[in-house]
Amino acid sequence: MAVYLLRRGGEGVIVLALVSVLVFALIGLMPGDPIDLLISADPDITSEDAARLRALYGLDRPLYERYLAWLGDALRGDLGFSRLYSQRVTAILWAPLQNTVILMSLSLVLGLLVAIPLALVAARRPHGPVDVTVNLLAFAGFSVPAFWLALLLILLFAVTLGWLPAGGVHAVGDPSLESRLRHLVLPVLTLTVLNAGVYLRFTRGALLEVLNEDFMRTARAKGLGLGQALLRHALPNAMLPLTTVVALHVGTLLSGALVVEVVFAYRGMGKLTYDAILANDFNLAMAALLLATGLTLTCNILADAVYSWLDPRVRYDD
Amino acid sequence: MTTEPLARPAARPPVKPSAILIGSGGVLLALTLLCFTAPWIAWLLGVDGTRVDIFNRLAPPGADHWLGTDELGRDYLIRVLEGGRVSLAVGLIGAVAAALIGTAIGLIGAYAGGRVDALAMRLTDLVIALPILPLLLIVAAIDPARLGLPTGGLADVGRIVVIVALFGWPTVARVARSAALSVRRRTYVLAAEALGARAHHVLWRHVLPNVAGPILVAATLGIGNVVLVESVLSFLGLGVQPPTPSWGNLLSDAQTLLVQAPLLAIVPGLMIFVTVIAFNALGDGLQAHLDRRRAVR
Repeated sequence: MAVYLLRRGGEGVIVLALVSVLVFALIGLMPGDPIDLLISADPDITSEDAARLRALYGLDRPLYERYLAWLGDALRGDLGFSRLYSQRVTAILWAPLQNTVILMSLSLVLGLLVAIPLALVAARRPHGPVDVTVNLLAFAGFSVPAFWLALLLILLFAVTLGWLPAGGVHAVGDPSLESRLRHLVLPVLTLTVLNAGVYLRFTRGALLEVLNEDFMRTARAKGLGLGQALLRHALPNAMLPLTTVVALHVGTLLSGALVVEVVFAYRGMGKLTYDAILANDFNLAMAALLLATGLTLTCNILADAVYSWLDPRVRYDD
Repeated sequence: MTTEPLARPAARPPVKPSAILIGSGGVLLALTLLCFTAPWIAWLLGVDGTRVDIFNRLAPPGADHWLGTDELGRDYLIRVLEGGRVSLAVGLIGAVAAALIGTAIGLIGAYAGGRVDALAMRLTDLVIALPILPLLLIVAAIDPARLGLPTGGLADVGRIVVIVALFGWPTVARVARSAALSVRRRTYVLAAEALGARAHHVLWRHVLPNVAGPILVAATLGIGNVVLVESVLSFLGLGVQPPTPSWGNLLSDAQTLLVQAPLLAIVPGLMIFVTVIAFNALGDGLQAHLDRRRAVR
């Protein structure tokens, strides 16, 4: 197991390195290098000045040399300077990361809390009226565009009813827990709907599959009620594949979080990435993207570990 | 006891398409027709989706403008239908492109096996697991001029198709691979190989026709996803650029007018929602249809 995790970790590092090369190359293709922006900000700069500045910052060197320089600094813990926030990148990342983790974990847990009971109710009578309704709900949940749902919720709860704030992490000058929670409601609600749709569809499918197993018939034959049989025998077996789906879904969840964070002006990793890309803040975009990738890869590896812990039949020491 | 004469097996009864299949297909057909006949609808209604009319900004829905007008006084119904033309076209073309890439990778992996297969599947799993939207934003933000590519208008739409195809292929690849693995050792494939058929011939003539069903299902489900991704990118300002309307960038414009004109935000989102649900239902219905046909066989 330890060997397996070590190998997966090693692979993760390789993937991270590949992604960093890819992103670095793509960033080089984004419009406007820092000097272009400097020129547009100050028309007095001559082309000689621009060339001199480019040489000073090494922007005239080939891409791979610049990448290696960036990598060397990054490995020493220096991710460079953010132009957007005029701060070291390492000093910016922490708060948004926390905000995103809060948003994601809340909506993940709530999504499961909505999906599992609904799936259990639906599985009592497959293709019955309840099941069809639940299935429709699941369809709606994963088909709804996140940003539209977010706008509708803002329209209802912030504009029309005025119950909840339309955006932000907390009210200006009021970082109290209450204010934070009030600002979390709508973003968490949006993401929960999306998650619940995916989890519901999957849990229902997994339950229906387990229903035909021999051990289910045995459980019913020994006199266990349908509800108890579903809860005690079907659900634990359906939970196994669900862990994998939930973990593999973390990448998608991060994507969804990005959209929701942008609409609600919620300062998390997604909004940070988006702002950095729009503002051509290369160092920050690079760091934020790698952090998101690293987070996803870690969750995937953890999922494998949890899977083998939950199901002793699965062993990784091949 | 008399022995019955050996009867010819009865012709297999045709499997009727389900209500879901017909319903979702009908909705999509109607939507597509409406969107692609937008110029004629505009002519019939005597309105214009492009003419700016600043004296008639943000008009409420009425007899003249069924969905009112936008912030520049353009008829919103026509704007939405024209936006749908772009969104649906990107969805269809993008999903087909993704299906082609995915099928190629899946089939080659399944047929070649060994290291090629392992590498292909690693790549597939990786693209599925990665936080794909943040990475796509970078791809969407690059300046095509720096790669010597044309910009603006149609080239812009083409760029989005490439981006969504990059995102959509892995699910198809997985389906294509597992379907191909299941027919890989069938006698007809082995027979073709024994007769000395080349790999591409076997794949094209014997494997592909027998795995087309699941691939079609995966591709249909993919269209919904592609429509969603295009709308997200356009909503974030990195997809289809105004003045070319798409459902995503219409919503993006409407966001700032949410209080004055909520309808501008509600309608394009509803169109995306209906389209994505319909494609997902169509894919699901197709899957059930193919399953039942196989059960009858």
